[in-house]
Amino acid sequence: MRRALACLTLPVGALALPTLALAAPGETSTASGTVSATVVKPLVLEPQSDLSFGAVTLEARGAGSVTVGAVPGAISHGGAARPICHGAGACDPHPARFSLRGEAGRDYQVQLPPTLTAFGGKPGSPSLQVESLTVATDSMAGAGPRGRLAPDGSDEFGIGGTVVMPAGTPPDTYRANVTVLVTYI
Amino acid sequence: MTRRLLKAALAGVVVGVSLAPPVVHSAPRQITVSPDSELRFGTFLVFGSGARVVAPGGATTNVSIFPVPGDSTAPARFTVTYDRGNNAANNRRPRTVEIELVMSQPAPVTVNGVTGRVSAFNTDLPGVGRIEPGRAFRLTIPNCQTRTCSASFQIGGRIDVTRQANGAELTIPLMMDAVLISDG
Repeated sequence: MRRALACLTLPVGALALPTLALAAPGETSTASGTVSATVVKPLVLEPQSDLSFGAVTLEARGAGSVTVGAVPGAISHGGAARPICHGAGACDPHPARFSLRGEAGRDYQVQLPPTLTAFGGKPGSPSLQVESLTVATDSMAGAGPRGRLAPDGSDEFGIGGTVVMPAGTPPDTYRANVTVLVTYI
Repeated sequence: MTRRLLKAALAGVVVGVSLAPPVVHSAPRQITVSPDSELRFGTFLVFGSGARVVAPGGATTNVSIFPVPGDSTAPARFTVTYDRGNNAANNRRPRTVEIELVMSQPAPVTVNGVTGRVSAFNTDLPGVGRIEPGRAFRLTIPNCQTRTCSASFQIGGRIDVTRQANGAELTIPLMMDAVLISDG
């Protein structure tokens, strides 16, 4: 009776593996495999400043353009476009700036649309084309839209472009939204 | 005289050889299970939590998981080798070798605020399908005609990942026990 009770109290796990205990030496083997996964920190993008082409006037009946480089200070006015903001402040042209955080040491790439359309705020204002958008990352100067996150997982980049103003463009504040896509590469 | 000496010498050699005991090392039958490749869930990013399933055939399914470049997944692969040994009783007739395998449940791992749990194991072994950790499943090597025979199989699974803030490299041991059931 005591023996029967002992059998009934065997753990289920032991019942499932009766043969392992009975096997002769050499007739069992154990291997240690591995499961692996690399979990990467997602990229976090924060806008620091917008891309601004500044305050511009067009000379009579002329068309013009303003180009803002992705690196601060690279500004040029073409055609009939003339800057009318000559001091510090909101009317100064400047590139957009973004800060980025992610997995330290990983490379990334910034993708931008080829063109944008900027709309005026007043009724009847035409739309303006923004083209030739460019990117410059702090970590890889001259590498265009490619960058590498620093050991602390951070980097910054700028975005520039060219706005084209046809002759007769009416005075207005023109705005465009740009979708910035950053991915690991 | 010379011929007689030569005969004596040859006899000595013959006697000497016949007296030397044959050196025969007895090798009993044995099995070996070895891991050929790891179960690789690849490189990915996850917001909060997500899961990835790697099938025994290699197909990958993502749940709230985003692959990143360099991502590469693969099922685990194990090889079981049977050696019938060199005992006289172990003749060369074809054998069907039955081996029972038991995989342990891998414990959850937390590294750098990232937790990974592996579950839902599957194999490409015919007739097995799902593997329950701690429960035996069987591998058959039919028609084994040589001293050693082997068979390989693949194991897939699912990893559930929860991420607090950082990234991490997760490595989780996968233990496999094998026992010879029969080789008749």
